Amino acid sequence: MWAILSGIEGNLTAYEAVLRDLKRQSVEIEALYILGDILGLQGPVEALLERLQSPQGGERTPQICAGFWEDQYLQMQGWGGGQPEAALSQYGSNVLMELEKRVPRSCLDWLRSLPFGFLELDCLLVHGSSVSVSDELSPQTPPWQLLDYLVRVEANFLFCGRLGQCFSVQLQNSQISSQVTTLDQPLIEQKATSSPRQIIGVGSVGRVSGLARYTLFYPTTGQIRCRTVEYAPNP
Amino acid sequence: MKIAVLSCIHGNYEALNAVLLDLEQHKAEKIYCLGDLVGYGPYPNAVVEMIRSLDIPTCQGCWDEDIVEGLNACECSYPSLLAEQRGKLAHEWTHERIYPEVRDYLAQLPLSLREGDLCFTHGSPQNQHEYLLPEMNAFAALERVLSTGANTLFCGHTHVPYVRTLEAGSIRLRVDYKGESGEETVFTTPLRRIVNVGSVGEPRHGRPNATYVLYDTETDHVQLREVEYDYQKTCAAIIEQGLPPIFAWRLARGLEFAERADDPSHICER
Amino acid sequence: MMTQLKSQSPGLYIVSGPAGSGKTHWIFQQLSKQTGSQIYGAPSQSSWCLDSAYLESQLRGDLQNLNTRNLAEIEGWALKSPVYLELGFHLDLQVLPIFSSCVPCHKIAVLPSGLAMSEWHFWADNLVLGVGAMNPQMPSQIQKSDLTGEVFDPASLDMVWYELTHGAYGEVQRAKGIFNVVDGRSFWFSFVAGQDSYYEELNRPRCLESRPGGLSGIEVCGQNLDTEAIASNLAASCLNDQLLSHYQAQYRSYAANSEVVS
Repeated sequence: MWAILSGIEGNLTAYEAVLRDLKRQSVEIEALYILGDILGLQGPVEALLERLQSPQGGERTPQICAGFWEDQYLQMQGWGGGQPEAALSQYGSNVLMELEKRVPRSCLDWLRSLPFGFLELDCLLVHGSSVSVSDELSPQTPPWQLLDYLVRVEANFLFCGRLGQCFSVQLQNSQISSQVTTLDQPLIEQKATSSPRQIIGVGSVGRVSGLARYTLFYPTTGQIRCRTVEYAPNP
Repeated sequence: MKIAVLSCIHGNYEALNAVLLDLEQHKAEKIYCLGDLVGYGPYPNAVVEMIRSLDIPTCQGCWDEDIVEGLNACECSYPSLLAEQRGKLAHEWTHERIYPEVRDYLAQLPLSLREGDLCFTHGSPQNQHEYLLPEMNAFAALERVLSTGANTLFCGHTHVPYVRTLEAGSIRLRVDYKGESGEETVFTTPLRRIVNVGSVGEPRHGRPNATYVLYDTETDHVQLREVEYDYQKTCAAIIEQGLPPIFAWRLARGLEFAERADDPSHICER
Repeated sequence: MMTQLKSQSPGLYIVSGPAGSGKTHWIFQQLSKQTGSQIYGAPSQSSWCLDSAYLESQLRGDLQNLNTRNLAEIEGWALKSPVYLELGFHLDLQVLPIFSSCVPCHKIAVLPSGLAMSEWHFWADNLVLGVGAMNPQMPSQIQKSDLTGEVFDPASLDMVWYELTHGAYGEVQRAKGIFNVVDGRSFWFSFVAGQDSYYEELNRPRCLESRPGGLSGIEVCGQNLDTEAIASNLAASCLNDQLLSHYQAQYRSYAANSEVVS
């Protein structure tokens, strides 16, 4: 069984609560994924980074990819060739100062080394979409767009975290006819079908104080469970 | 109304003239151009001046962008080290010769154009560097058209022309959200079309002839055009102007090799 | 005229024929049938020889590569086992070294079909039907480049090879090469004008760490060859140290992962 988290956003207490919940599971956790947004506005990051890098007694070492806040922080520090425009427009002009306060500069190299995502078995695990960390996939995203994100990387499951909510969209019986005319070849007619595919929002661990959400996934059966963990937030 | 759509002229003035003559003979009333006016070929300035003098609505191609912005395509957009080296040679050659006003013109070109239910773009609506190949997954192809809101998407960039019709698309959908299982809904998509107009000046279909497309807005008919021209003139100019002779050799065989990523839908993060 | 040669008995087997007629291939067939020592020499070659490197990689058992300057040594071997000497197409058949008469000596010409009377017909005492058709013109140029240690980007190598064998750098009648590619494998490429190229993976240990040591190189024969363009395009298709170690690390990690799965 895999545990898939996203959006801790500096909230160490919430992360600890999720780790305790994982220990209570009867099935062994084979992999622990964190789909970005380790950084954020919910708390200082230093202690959290320490905790992530030193798993205790039987905990899995988390596999971490970059998220929205990591990307915006790197942009802010001059990496990535742009400006943190998305953060500024969504969170206002103070956001950079707030983030700067919470993130130690010593973690810059570590942030730069984070992968964009993971492709494991037939699952794509990313923060936003297969195109960008800033894409916010949701149940309202047009279905052909969701399908495109999956067929691009030939995955059947796409786990993402940008929305910060648990959701699942199943796409089935997808079909389409296509005809291609070229200069030299006779008309090519195709009927394309797509295997069942699924987009899963994995929830957010740290965004809502007192309520951590994450996802458990059984890769052999495809079963998905959204877990909600209540905990006492730090005063 | 009959319109002509051209793309990927790549500094090949001879080929452009032949196509302009051909579309005039076919009574095209309006011309659109999908970019890549420069790069590889010997007459980048003359090509741009011709397009400007005819007031042809044009979108920016990846080569036009690179000439303006400096070579910024990531190495992932080249299929091989050799193609990368040749691409850079062509870029430097063009960069050194292009007039400032030509560069300014290329800089202000839009990434896409809309005209009624038609959309015009160089690579794909999302990215000038993306290749919409005819064998691309049909769902992905459909997404490219739907994302524009147009019925027909005209593109270039692959240098091989084709028309692809996408119809009878349907997706069955079930949403679980906020702990509730939604009902199953069926999403259907209307008929959509991708028209790749090929390349005027650097064909890749195995013959040296220029390709472009005629489209009749009333009858909805698309005609792929292949136009012979004196390609030997362009080949001679390539060598005379100090471009690598291998460019001429490949042009004469319709073997343009421009950048083409292993993963055609790969989009550079940079 | 074509005879089936009994080539298993001791003696000298001197093999000649036009470029690309299949000399090395014929020798490979004889040597692979053989149970004892496999002995080969290529008198026409300089310090390195693609054909012997090919045989060395593809034959099971150890190939004994002879120093062809030492006639006494060759004769010594030929008294005990069959010894194959491959002559390049460009060698003058009239000025071959003279071997002692106590060594049985067979002169074999590997010739393409449809070849009319030629100097090989007069010289040989055995004719073997090789591959392809005879090219009327003898190549006037030979370009040899040692590429040992170089590692190619496969897509670039394909492109240069295509261009080379389709006339982009002059009229090529015969081209052969041993090339290392970035996934650690090495390949034999062979082209004869009028035929499709032939490719074969060599049985060499996969090299995923630093640069491979086995012989690699290219030999091109033809007319009006643009040797500079061939060399520069080959060079542009090779990986520098930084790229090489980057990709090798990736391949090593794939290899490690696939071992876990299997």
